[in-house]
Amino acid sequence: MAELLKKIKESSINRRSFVAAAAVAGASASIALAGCSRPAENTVTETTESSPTSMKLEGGEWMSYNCHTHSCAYRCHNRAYVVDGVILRHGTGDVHPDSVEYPQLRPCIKGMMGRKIVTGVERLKYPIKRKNWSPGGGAGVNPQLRGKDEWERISWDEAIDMIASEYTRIRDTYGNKAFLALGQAEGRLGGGLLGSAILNAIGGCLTTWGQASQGGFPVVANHMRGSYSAGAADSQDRIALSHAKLIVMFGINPAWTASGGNMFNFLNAKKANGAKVIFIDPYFSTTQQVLGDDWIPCRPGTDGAFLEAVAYELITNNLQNQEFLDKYCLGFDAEHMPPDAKTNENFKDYILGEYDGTPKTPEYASAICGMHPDKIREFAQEIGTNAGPIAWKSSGAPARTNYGNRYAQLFFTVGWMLGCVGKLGSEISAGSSSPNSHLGTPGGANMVAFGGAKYAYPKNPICTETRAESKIANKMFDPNLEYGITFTETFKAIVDGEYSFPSPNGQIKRSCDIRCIVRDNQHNPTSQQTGGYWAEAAFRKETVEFVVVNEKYLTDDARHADIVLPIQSTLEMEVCCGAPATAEFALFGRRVIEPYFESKTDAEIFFLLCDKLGISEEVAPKMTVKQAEFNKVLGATILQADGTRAPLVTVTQKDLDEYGVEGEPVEGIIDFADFVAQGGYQVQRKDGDHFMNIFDKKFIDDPAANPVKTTSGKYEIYSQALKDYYDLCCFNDIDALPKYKAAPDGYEQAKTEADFKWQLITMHIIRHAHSCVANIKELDEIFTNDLLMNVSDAEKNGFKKGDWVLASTREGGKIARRVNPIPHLMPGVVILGQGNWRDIDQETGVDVGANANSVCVTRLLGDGYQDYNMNLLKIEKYSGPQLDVEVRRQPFTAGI
Amino acid sequence: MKTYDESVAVALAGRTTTYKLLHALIGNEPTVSTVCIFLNQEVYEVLDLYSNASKEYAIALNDLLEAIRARKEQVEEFVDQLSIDYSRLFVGPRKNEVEPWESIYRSNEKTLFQATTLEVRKAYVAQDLIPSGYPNVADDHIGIELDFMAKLAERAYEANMHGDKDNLLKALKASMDFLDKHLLEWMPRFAESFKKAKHGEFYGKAANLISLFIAIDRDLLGEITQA
Amino acid sequence: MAQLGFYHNTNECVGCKACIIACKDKNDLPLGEKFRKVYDYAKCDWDVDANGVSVPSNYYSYSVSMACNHCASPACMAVCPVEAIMKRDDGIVYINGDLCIGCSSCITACPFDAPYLSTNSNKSKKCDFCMDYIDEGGVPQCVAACSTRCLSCGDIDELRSKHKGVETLPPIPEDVSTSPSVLFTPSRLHPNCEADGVLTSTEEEITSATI
Repeated sequence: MAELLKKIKESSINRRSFVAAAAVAGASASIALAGCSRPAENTVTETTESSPTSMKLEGGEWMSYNCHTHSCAYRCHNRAYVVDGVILRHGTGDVHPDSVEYPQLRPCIKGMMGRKIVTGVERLKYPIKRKNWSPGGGAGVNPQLRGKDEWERISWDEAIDMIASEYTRIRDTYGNKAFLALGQAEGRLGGGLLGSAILNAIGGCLTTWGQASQGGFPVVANHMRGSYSAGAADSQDRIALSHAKLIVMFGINPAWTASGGNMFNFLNAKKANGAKVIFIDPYFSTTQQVLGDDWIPCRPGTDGAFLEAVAYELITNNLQNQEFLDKYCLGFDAEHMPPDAKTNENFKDYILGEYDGTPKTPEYASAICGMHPDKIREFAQEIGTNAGPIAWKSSGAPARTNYGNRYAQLFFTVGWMLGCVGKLGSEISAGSSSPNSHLGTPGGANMVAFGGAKYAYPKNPICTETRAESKIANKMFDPNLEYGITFTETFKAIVDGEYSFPSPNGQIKRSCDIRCIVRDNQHNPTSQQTGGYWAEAAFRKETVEFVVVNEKYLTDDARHADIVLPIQSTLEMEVCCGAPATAEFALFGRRVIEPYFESKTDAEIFFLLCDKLGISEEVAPKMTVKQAEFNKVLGATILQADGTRAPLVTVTQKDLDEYGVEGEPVEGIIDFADFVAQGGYQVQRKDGDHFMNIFDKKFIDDPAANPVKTTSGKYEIYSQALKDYYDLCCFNDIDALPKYKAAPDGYEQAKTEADFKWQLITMHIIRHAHSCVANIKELDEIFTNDLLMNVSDAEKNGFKKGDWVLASTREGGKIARRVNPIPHLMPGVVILGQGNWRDIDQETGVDVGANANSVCVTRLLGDGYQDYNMNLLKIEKYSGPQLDVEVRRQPFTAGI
Repeated sequence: MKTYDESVAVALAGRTTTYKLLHALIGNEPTVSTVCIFLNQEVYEVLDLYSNASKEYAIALNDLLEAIRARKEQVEEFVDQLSIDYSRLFVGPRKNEVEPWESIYRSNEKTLFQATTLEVRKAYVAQDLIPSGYPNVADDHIGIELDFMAKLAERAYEANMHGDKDNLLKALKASMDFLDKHLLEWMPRFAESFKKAKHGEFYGKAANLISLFIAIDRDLLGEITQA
Repeated sequence: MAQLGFYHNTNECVGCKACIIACKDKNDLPLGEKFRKVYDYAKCDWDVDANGVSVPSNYYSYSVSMACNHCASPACMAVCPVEAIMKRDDGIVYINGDLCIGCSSCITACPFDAPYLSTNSNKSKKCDFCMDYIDEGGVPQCVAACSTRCLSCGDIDELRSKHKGVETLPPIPEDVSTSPSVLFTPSRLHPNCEADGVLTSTEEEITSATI
């Protein structure tokens, strides 16, 4: 008899063991079930006829999917090679041969890390609840433990029960204004919703509002130019742009901010006509290393002064396009003032110093902006004498500063002095989409676009504008409406119990008593909104009784919640149509992986709560995610040459039946089967096609017949309406004329400071998409996101590459970060990539995660726009507990 | 290979029970009954079958049982504490102190649903079994793998009782295969990782026992199939 | 005989590192391990006067993407004591992991930091030009993923006759005695390739060690 068996026989004392063993073998089967609140998991069962039969296990397929990053300004053709729901490889978008006209839409580093995100082991799997929180308010809340409590797993039933009962209790006890809904547009429930669909259904809530990406542009553009589209309508698409001979880029860095194939398009647009490209930026970015022909470094927040001096040079050399100004603009000179002007100041005389005794010479600007006066002259000569076409482009970045509104005025004005509007190759474009080579499009609508999902849910009776700031931005302020709390003030307002109503200096205050914070849609306000210094205090406020967050990971928001619901990614939805920020591509995504553990879609959660709260289908008709996404396909259109739109996809009744969805068959230009097989439809462009965008061509061709939507119907350099509107309802100041002004915490202040002397800009770093994907170590290892600092500055201040520094603001926010001194950054400026998740060391109060918004102060500006790019920092050696770079650090979710 | 041999029968019964117990111990959150069953004398006798074969196993078993016996007067408190441990170790939402899925140990990628997961799934399907949470859960959770071994052990035990050589051999072969290709590949490192875990004291003992047991079981299966 | 090689046009590289990630994905490389690395190199002098006017001069920045250069005379192959490193007819140099004994001789010998010791397997690893894809008529994953199409591959002689370029440029080591089968077009911003800049990449960004 063999060894072990022998020993076992020796061990078994007598037959009693054998019987016992047999008995226990049977009994123990039921052990696991007893006493547990949920059925035993982590078992195997026999396969039966009803078992899933679609298990392939051998051989996989390439599947297209809508990228998992919801906060990205672009959209690529993401694909995965999948075997029975396991992603083995990511694709490079090589679904067709590559060419300049018809490029492969290659994903960036974030896209190619898809499986790390959607099947990451730290991804939330179950609904969870804070151990020391129980519903009902009072002693069960323990708000001081938010962010550092234990967690326990709960069932979906328990979660929905608790959420529904808390919502009801809080509403009945405190009223609907006790709810604050955070978050931004919910792309899947129906874009543009700012708030919470379920709270709307039970009487409404306060929401948040303001500008994130656009800075001071919207109100200014709407008044001066009569329209604002974030760059979607006024930019040129990559084919039209290829006709430009000179491209001027203010604060534009697509290599980082809209990675993927975007740079390929810009490069080709430049090559097509040998365009000269000039960048105005404190940093010589990687975009410039490929595209740049000239670099004008300019201090953060001072681009306005630069533009004034450029205007001065153009005027004194008579290089402005006078014909254009005379015909299309008002306010440039005394002879062309708008009829409603309340002062008689004109731009030309202002620039020449007639009013304030300060001619806006290059010397004047140089002292503020930092570039040499001769550089300004050279630039003015270039743009003033270049025959063009000229593309005059600004991202939102320079306008995301204190007086970004004034910058916006000057940006448009100098552009109009060049007259580069209304002709192929010319543009004056501004906003977050200006760096997107697929935008703009004629009319601002995508070349190929999906229809709506057709979810229906109630409007918010309290904050009556679904996206408050766009009404304010669009000259439609109504003092009788409730707008909610601005982004910058959100957390401070929760703490102080008071928020600002749109008014000069925010002088009109309203009280608020937020009892419940809800974030049931995509966005990470805790990481993404200025005034982040107040976030932790807000969540821990004694009177906040309930916080609920829908999330995929234990992000900064989720960590501070009481209940967190795990949500699905785009790869788990049966169908998921891509949001076409690539306006040339309508992506049809399929289910790549099965829903991760117990995660649900936002829509499913909404409907579960509707059921629990008794919201009828009349109010919120139920619809599966599959049906909703399919509705988008049925409504998909393509822009025709005559400007109308025609259906894109041919869907037959057979297709509808096969998919098990409802709808009307439709005739398009691509069969549904092909649409699915190809992962969507990508427009094949060529030079001269009808997708080329020339913004405001009608106005330029016939201004009398096609006035723009300004007071006068013309471009208003002097805009009385703008000044009046600001005096009525905007938080900071502006003049009817474009005038640079020194801002608090600007360079003028920095240069007098001994301590708070560093100007911080918070860039969109390539390794995250805002704060999405900020937890992927494989990306941390190739972009460490150190605090970038000028080499000489580092030397003078005793910092070496690899040192850790503590950076703080006067408001009190503190971050710790490693320093990387580099040569090609303006002295006095530091750069931190935004999107890191805030991680406050509970002993020291220092944000060791280095979230940019811990050091972007609360500041009420314009129509709620935010200053991400002009904060002043004090920087000193960090002497706290030792830190390491993200790639070697314990993951954020390891907890405090 | 003989059937009806009493020592083989005992061994097959014993391993069935042992896998079931180990599954109950670590496969799911702790309950009073899953913890208390280890105080049961008959259970002790089954688990002790292997103490003779391996000194380390004997020590590990004693370690584990002592830890439970020491708290038998405050069992509910003990189980509450273990719940916290279990949650912090294996459930989250914070980063798990010890990941309970094989794929994490096989590839250094911190993701679930990897190629090795498919291999595990294939092994289950070949035996007409699938995870009860398929397709939403990762197939290679320690609990699922142990339950798979338990089910195969039960089949082997039953087949032996009925003199069904073919099914006995099939179950034993599948078991050896799975140990060789999967459990034995990651259990040692899994057990090791409890040392650094803040909440790893009790479950580290469980993991240690499992790791030692499956090594013994593999040898045992080798002996049985060669006999 | 044809010799396959990479061509990297640094003039059109934005340092997006899609090449690194695509390679890691295809080769299932763990954290820290990279077959391909991207080096960011820059220079900028600043003249700052008493008023704070800051004028940059002599500035440039560019990124260099390099994996293994599949040298015509590979130093790694020459020193391998167990003949684990082979060179194919098409010039691809690859390591047979089954034979590798982890002695690190190749790592010491390579002038380009291509092979590294994987602490997981204790064997030397490096780029193999995605030879499995090549054999199927495809291209290496890095080339397929390149966002600006500045990275390509082919017969190195053909590439050299088609494009102007150099075998090495800062911050890549100067030693080309192994005849690397690689071509780089220098940046228009720094055509003379003087080593007067600084490596701005951080240590982690260019390591190939397991983390």
